[in-house]
Amino acid sequence: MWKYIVKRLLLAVPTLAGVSVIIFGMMYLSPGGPVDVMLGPTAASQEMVESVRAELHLDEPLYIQYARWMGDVLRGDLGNSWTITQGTSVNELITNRLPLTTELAFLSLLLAIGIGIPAGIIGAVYQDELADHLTRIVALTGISIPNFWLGIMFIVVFAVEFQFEWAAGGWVSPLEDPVSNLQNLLLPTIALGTAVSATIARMMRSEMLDTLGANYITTARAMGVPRWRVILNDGVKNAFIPVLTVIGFALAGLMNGAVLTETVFNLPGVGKLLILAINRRDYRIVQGVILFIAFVYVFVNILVDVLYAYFDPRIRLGGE
Amino acid sequence: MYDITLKKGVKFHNGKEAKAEDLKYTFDWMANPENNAATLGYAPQLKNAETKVRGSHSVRLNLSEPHGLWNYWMTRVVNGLVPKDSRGETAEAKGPKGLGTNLTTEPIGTGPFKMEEWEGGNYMRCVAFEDHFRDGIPKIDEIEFQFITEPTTRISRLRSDNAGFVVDVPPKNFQSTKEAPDINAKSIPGSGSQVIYHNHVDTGDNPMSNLHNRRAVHYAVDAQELLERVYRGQGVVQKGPWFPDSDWVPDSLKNIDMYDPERAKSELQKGPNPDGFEVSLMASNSSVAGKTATIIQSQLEEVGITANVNLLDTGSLFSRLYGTVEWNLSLAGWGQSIPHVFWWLFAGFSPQRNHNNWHHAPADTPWKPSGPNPPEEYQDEYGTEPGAGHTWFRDRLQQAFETTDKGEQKEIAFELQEYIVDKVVQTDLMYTNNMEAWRDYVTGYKMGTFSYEYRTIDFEK
Repeated sequence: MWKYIVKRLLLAVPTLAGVSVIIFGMMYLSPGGPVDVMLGPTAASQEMVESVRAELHLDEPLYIQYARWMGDVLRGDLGNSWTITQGTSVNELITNRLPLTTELAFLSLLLAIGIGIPAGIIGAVYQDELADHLTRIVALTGISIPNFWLGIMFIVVFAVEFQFEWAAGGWVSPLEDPVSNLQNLLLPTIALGTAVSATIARMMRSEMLDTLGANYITTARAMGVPRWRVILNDGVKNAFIPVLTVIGFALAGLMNGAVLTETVFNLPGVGKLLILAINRRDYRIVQGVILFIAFVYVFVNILVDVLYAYFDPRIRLGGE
Repeated sequence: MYDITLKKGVKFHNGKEAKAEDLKYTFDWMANPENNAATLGYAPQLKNAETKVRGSHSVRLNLSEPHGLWNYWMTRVVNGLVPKDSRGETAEAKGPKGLGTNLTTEPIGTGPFKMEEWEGGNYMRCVAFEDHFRDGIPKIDEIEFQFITEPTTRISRLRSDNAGFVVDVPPKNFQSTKEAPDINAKSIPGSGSQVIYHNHVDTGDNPMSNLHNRRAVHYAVDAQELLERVYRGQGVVQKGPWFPDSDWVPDSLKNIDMYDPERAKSELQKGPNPDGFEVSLMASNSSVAGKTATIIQSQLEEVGITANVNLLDTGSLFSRLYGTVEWNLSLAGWGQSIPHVFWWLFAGFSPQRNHNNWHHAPADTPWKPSGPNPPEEYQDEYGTEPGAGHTWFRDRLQQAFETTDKGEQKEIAFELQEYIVDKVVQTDLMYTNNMEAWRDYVTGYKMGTFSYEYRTIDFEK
């Protein structure tokens, strides 16, 4: 097992290196740069623009700029912000905002699992009955609604119409006030978790239908094992393994989904930071945040593979 | 040359009294080209300016070029008074020279509030400065600025009493916010201007390099319709670059109807594309800009001009506008920071990096300078070579700065504004209103047209 994990971690290195090249290239190939944002549009002379570009090393060939940045990254330094908070370390900016994004992602995932798994089971057990139709309609609706639109609707209804103070966005640290923290994250969690719960429900239903049609399930039922015991002990356990992959990727995907949800609810997380950085062409922050998200994807991927082996002892990792 | 005397007893947030040495340091730091102070772009007269301490609170400032309106510039454009040596040494970790100093994240001033905490793009918390020089100011202990880009969230924070005060109320939300219980909302003339830029560079396939085509676009756009449909009538249609009701705008412009589709068609006939032409129209990807651009597109269609709307994020828009010739028309919004016509004539039309590509092509491109000729009566002196119009414009502007005679200044201001409209250097559309809202426990609040205007505020709780 450990050998497999080390091997996967080593393989992650070229993956992340490839991602870093793509991130770096895309940022620099996209139009617009930080210097225009820093100096303002009409004020600066061309000489001043060139001078600032030189100070930021933006006048150097792209491969040298990349090498310079990569060298810093390998030393654990993602660089400093250029336009949002000049001189502030990107590591610090991400670290300060990570607890919120992580909390939001995990709460959304909990909600998605809490709704998606039972809905999928019910849909499969009562296939083509009213309960199945209902869960499918709800799941389809959940997938179809963009999370940012749902967020805005929540704000309009709960904050503007009902005037609940906790519904109007903002965030309080759980260490400061756990109740307010959960209140503030309630609507963002629902907005972010709805689509994921729908995806999990559809996957769970599909896997459950396959599993419930298997011979060992029929045999167990023929041997007189009660229906719900078979469903829960044999059906759910086997159907859950492929769903685990979906959940793993959903967790990483929730970090991405947080970008829009945090912006709508004015939550000072990594997602809102990324949007700000893109708009203000803060290359170092954009590169740092996307590299971080890529790292989370890779790490979650490895974690899911390891958990696979845990849930299904037949799977042997790395040829063990 | 200006002799400046500081008020005595004014303290910085670090507790020290503001004196002549501090003012000298403030000016000297900006005047030194090596420091790369962005302010020099707005106030080039400060470059290599000389300063001399004349007393404990008095400084003589000798600008490198005359500037009769320096008081406006000094109090609104030039960076504020800072303590001696407070910017520290330049270091890469702080950011580029001039843009990153010790004061970038820890500012020290003399104002009624001192900054306590700032998280870029998120919030800034300021607390009352007890030693502020004006008695009874500030009236509140702490103020937190929250930067919320999503308008619905911004308004909802006010409605749910999570914020006492909100600026930039979107036009579509203004009436409903005003009618909400316990909330006051007001709309007053603002300093935000909407403009169509024309790319003047003759690239061979840029219709906007032709004066008649520019005029056709200019007179085809109905700014009143834009104001009604996009901004719900909250603003005023422009008659040139400055505020239409100002004494500094000539009657010749005040009386002109900027929307004249017949003239637009007639100008089209006079130009090289009598059957119409096709252009790109760039705009930012905000919903307001997108809607404005779409309406302009249909208005241009009425006279036979096909505009292809291209919505871009702000960074890309600016980059294409200032760094390329690959555009024809661009919609953009600007805010005036100084309540004087010469500020806008300077900032909008004079700098080397002009947004219209009026007088020069972007750096590292093969294109020649461009733009309209000087007025006929000046052509003997300035010629008609590309770029001559802009040279004349800058010279006239400098002549206005070199005098303190208001009559003479006005004459130049009228001449330059008429030139901008006649040659369609750009198409100024409208000044949109400032729309703000606040909870009813905020009292005595006075809105301002310009961002630099002081505002008083009080709270009942």
